[in-house]
Amino acid sequence: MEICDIATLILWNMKKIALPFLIASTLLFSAFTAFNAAQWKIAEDYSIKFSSKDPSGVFNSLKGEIVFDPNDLAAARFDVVVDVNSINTGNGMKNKHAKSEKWFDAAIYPDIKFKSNKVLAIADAYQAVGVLEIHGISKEFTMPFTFANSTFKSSFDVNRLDFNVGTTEGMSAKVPPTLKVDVTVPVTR
Amino acid sequence: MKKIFIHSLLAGVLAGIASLVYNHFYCAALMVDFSKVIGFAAVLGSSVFGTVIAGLGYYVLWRKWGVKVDVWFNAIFILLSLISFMGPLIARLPLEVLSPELFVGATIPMHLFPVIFWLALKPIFGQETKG
Repeated sequence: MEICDIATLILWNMKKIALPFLIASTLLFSAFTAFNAAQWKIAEDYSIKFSSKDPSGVFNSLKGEIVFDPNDLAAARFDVVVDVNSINTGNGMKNKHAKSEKWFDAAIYPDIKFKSNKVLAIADAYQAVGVLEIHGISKEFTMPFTFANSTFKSSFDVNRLDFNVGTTEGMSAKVPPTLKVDVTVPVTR
Repeated sequence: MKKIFIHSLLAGVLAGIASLVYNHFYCAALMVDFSKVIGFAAVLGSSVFGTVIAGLGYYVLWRKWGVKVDVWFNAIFILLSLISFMGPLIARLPLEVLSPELFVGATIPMHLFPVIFWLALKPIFGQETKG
């Protein structure tokens, strides 16, 4: 066998190997692209507001992972963390009080977490069903939300007593058990 | 009356300037910004307003108590200044203002400047002798 025959044989074999490899790579790459298409980054101008008769305020820190495609809710996933220490009620003493052991106990429980288990479509909106953890207590929680113009919006009520945040005694009684939470999270690719 | 008015006006202006200087150094040292809440005009205006109102009070009390006015007026002015500490303590700042816990330290000393400058200038202006 001459050298040019050997080279031809090698090239032919390479073609045989390369073609399936090329197809597999393309499929893999497509799948990866599809996965990325559903993944979102949290933009900086998000807001997490809570309101009641008194207090009202915001949390200024939100991190986490959002995977959401309206056409593929089975793959949707929310795994987000709010930093309790980023609370701002507009009053320094209230902030300090909120972080203290009587309320959120931020030294021991620095995070509020929400992790979805499933996402459902309800009419024009969605529901993220998962586990909400506040003050070290985890409860199943359904978070309604909408998604439009690359922005997630959600409004829901949280009963602080469900998570042992404060009590109904003494000065704590002045804080309503249920606080309204409004979340707006713009996202980017 | 004119002497009381000039006394109160001057005390207010000096208190305002002292407050602005203090606020500048406080905010620079602690890297906070309360300019949305306590700007130049608000600090100076409230200092002058406070001392002019105090001057009016002084005039009314002087008409009533005569030469004894200073004893009572000083006590009332100091007491009201101390009570005014409640303002910064219970104030609810706009939520975009960060570190509201440092607001108290920025503003409470300012509440003392009007009475300090009123008392500091008192020997210069002396007692009111005619209405």
